[in-house]
Amino acid sequence: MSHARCKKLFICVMVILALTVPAAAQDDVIKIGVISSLTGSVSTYGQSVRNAVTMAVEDINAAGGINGRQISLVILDDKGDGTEAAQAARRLIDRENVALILGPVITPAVMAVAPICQAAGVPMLTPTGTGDQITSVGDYIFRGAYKDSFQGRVMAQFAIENLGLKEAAIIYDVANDYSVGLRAAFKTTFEELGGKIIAEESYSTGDTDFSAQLTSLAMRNPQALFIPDYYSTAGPILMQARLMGMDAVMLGVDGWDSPDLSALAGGFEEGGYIVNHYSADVDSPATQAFIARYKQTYGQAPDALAALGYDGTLIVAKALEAAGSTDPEALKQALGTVSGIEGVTGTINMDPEGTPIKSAVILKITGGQWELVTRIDPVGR
Amino acid sequence: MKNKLTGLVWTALLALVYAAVRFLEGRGVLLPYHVQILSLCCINIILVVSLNLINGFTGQFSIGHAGFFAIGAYLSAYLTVKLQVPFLAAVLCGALLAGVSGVAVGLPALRLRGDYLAIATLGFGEIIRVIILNTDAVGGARGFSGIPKYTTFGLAYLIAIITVVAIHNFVSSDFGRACLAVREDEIAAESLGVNSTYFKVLAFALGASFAGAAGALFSHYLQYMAPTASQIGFLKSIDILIMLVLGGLGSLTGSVIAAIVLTILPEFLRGFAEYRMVIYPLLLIAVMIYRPAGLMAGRELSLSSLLALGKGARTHGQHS
Repeated sequence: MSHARCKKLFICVMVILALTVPAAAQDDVIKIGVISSLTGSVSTYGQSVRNAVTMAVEDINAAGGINGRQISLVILDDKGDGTEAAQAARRLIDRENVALILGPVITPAVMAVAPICQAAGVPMLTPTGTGDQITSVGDYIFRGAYKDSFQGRVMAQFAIENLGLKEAAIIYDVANDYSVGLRAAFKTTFEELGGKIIAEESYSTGDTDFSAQLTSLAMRNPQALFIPDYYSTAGPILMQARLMGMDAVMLGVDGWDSPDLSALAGGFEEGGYIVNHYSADVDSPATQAFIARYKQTYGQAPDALAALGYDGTLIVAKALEAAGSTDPEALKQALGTVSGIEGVTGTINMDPEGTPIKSAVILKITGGQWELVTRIDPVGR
Repeated sequence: MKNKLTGLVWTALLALVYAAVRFLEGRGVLLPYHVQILSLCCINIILVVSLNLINGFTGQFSIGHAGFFAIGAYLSAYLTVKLQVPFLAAVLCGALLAGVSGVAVGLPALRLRGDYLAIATLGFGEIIRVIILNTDAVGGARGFSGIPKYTTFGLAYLIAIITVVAIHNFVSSDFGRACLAVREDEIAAESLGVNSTYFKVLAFALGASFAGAAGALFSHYLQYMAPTASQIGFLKSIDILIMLVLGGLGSLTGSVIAAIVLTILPEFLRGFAEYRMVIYPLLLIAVMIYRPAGLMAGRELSLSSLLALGKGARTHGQHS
């Protein structure tokens, strides 16, 4: 056998070994798997979540861990892609034997992981997934954020009850489940509360010119315009609408929350309202301590995803403590019942369906800053 | 006689691989995690080998393969979830519809060549995605969830073998020779009486139907289909194309090897977090620099060449 061949064989053997040797089991630590989008088109979301989760676990471990046991994290990247997320989940369950999976970050990845966790009987909590359908996959699936439909309802409620609006128009992205879901929830609640949706227009992901749709909306002269989309699209829509002379009140969602919104909207976002998970203005000690520590550790202000990542970890930690073990059945029960968690995004109570009951905040853009307008507590589910 | 023997040896080898996987799985050496990766390898093999028929053997540069994949994935999922059709029948229907759309797209599009064909097929892939996005019956933008897990490693393995054997036989038949002739020189082939449109569309439809079958396996493997670019859009097409080019256009064994390597590689790199998507392309670039025609560069790995390699090693290169 030649030298080169020997080397090739050696590499092959190493590769096979690396694939098959299961990780050594450790009893003294609680292993939590994290699936996050560290690369790909939503990598900033994933990195925020990863940072916050790591920070939360450091805090918990420094305070003595959970019932005396330390938490160790296994963090895997999923590129924000369903296929990759499914592989990562199997790896965490089969090779790492994690007690629980925290993640993934975006709904398409969550939906690919959920059936695996459900079938394997491993509890899963996505700190950030807002898609309505997530928790209906099964009883092992939980989330740390509110549902899209809740957010849409809150905005409709705020528009009618606080702003006293009667008519609104909607412009949304038909190709984005987030936008479609929010539009449906907003419309239903707005009409239930006696308002009227006088016009609706749609576009598709990737569009940059909205003048045709906006012209048609402007002709109806609505009191308010609801734009349920991410900042990257909401920004240009805001600018084009205002330049067209539309003077409607602009209503938005958590997707607007980005430092880049102002640049994209050219300052025309001023006066707009959004629903969000948390506000940096909230005077709670938990929130302020989190913001200070995050800034100190990572050199930037935490966004809503970081806040949700931190809170998701707190929910999981509280559930582990309440369950007293890593037994999946006990953990599942605990995750559906833990309550009174003082998180960064407010006081969190979990409901057995797997979604937290917590208040949303309404923010207004004033002088280029997000200002807290009010907190809205959930009404029904 | 010799053909029969090689056939037997291959069958024995493939059966042995299957038995080995099952055995190791039973002993707990191979975890569900590994078996899941192996299933994905099989699905990717079907995709790459079927694209090879179109791009490698017939020389028609298509980058809309994910469109056919999506048709198979969504149709089969719709059939099993909403109409309770047996899984195998759903796979066949998926393959069939993908094949029919292959003909429908191929007839007009294959009049185009090179870049123009590439753009036309890319457009086709996007049309399929947008149609799915706007079809509420398959979940639209929300994605299609609640698909039962019917795809087993055994089935994916079997269909992958069927694909490779079928395309291998096609390529070595008269039809395949005609396709090769079209690839080498369309005008010369036409002048010899080869109906180039017929063979191009035939190869396109055949490749498309196998991609449809791969899609059906995939949707019942992941249990959730999202109409995103990386799942069924152009990014997926590009992924398949990368595997094809890395393995070498016109080499079936190259396609198989590249599909396996590029499916497993990201798993190894998963631990590197953010740097993963730096290392992966670097490896691709390295391969393209040192083996510009792909790993197998149009050649095949056959039993006789393997034997010759073994002999060559023993007699130390007397044959070369």
